Amino acid sequence: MIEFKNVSFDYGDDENKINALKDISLTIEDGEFVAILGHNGSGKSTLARLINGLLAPSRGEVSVDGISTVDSSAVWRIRQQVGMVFQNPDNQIIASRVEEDVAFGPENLGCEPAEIRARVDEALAVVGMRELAHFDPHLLSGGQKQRVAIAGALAMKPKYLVFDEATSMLDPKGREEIVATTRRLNSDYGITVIFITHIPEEAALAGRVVVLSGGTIAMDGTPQAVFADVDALADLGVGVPKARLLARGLEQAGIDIPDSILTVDDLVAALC
Amino acid sequence: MRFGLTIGEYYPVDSPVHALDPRVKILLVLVFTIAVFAVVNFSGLTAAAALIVGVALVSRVPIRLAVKGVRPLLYLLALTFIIHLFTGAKPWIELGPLHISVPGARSGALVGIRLVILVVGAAFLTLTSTPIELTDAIESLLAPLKKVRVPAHEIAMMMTIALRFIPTLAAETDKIVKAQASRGARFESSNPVTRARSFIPVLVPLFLSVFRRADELAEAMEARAYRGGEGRTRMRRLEMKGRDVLTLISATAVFAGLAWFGRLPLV
Ligand SMILES: Nc1ncnc2c1ncn2[C@@H]1O[C@H](COP(=O)(O)OP(=O)(O)O)[C@@H](O)[C@H]1O
Ligand SMILES: [Mg+2]
Repeated sequence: MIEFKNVSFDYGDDENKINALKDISLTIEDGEFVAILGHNGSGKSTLARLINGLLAPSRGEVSVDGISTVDSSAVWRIRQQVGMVFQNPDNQIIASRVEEDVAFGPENLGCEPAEIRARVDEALAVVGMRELAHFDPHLLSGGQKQRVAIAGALAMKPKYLVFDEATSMLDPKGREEIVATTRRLNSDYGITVIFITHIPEEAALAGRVVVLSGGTIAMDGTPQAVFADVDALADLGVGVPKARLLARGLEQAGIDIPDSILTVDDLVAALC
Repeated sequence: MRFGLTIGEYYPVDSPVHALDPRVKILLVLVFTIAVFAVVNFSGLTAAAALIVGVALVSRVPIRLAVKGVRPLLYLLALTFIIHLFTGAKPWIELGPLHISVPGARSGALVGIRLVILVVGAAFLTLTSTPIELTDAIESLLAPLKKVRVPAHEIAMMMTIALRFIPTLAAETDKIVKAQASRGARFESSNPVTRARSFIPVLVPLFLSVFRRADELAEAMEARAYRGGEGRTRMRRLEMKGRDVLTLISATAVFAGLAWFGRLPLV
């Protein structure tokens, strides 16, 4: 369980302080798939970095499985438990061979060579990159690089995975690869996923959507509940899935169609 | 304009030299360098060249790839030779106002050939070992020096990251150069000042990007529980096999013989 208790975070010194998060309280249960949605500067990346102790809260407490992230004796355990995938695929791959890079995390944890080998092979198999284990990462596509980054996190055997706009620099195909992979990690491997995005279609696939705005939680609920109020979301600078907009347009034109439509598949099911 | 860098142009074939422990190869290059410096006659240099040809045959690497490394040194070689030629001791051959030293010609040729042999010999290290193997080998060889505060792990990590980012940054530089050229930057100007100034709009964005990448990379490394070399293990461990030890000992003996032969009063 990840728990934020009245967490605030300020960047900068006392004179030019930027209050990036304001009194956030949030609980994420094991096994959840939570999307965090919000426009630029709403505090999404700050929230992500608080989870694995890359940042320490200015006020309040963040805990992972009951252990505070500022507990210096537990920080390595927390980094192992909370894997993270960042936005830029190029700037998170360390080694010039795929399998070397995936080994980086378990090497830092001090695992035995045979154990590292086994973890690397398994992690690469899970993301479907085993054939490319000997490749130089700069020859891979964006989506493939992000899958290497996911494998690198998986090789640490984490319980939680945080994706900070991991799809935003990818083409549609790469995006689809990553979304499909994360859903599989959640459903088949029981990994708790915190999926930060500014793309409503991606958030609609989550079990729960948290909308951040100006450093506070503006909405928190199922995708159906959150995306119901199109106008309120627009005020927060957040869009809604196109299928939802289309459904609303049809409804306003007098066609009887349910409120719960979020994806193209929903739309197809309702209309055909 | 291309900024392709060719570091460690590994030549991927299977050979006994490729299979050798990279630490042995590094050590043997060092021993070979010392031996060649000890050589003071042409017979010894000929023997050293013959040894290199032998290594080339065993490693199945075309020798011209190793010789390619000499090209950037040609000016230096010519200059060294000329300096020796005109500053050497008597007897002189007088050609009008020029005094050409006979022992100078000999020592200039020795120094030049020696340099060529060293460069060609050392090239086989990078031709037959991958950059990753070399990084591991350097970390392992430097490990005992950690006690005297040689940052072995940090040096190896820097090499790893450099290898990872050289192609990325080369591609990025290429992109910026093209973008600036399309805006009228004068990279091909014959005026060296104009040419040098035209690189400022390339270097500024490149540096900004490098700093941003470094920040993000540091964060990604921390997120993967990196805390320096302490407590860190490696997936691959270099293993010194009997064959490697045998090669190290016998090749060292051969190089010692080379140094001895090279100091005999021969031509
Ligand atoms: N390193 C930093 N120094 C100062 N201010 C920052 C820094 N990082 C983010 N901020 C500010 O904090 C706020 C939240 O940023 P961030 O968490 O990155 O938002 P998001 O990821 O949603 O775009 C923004 O106003 C941003 O300008
Ligand atoms: Mg962000």
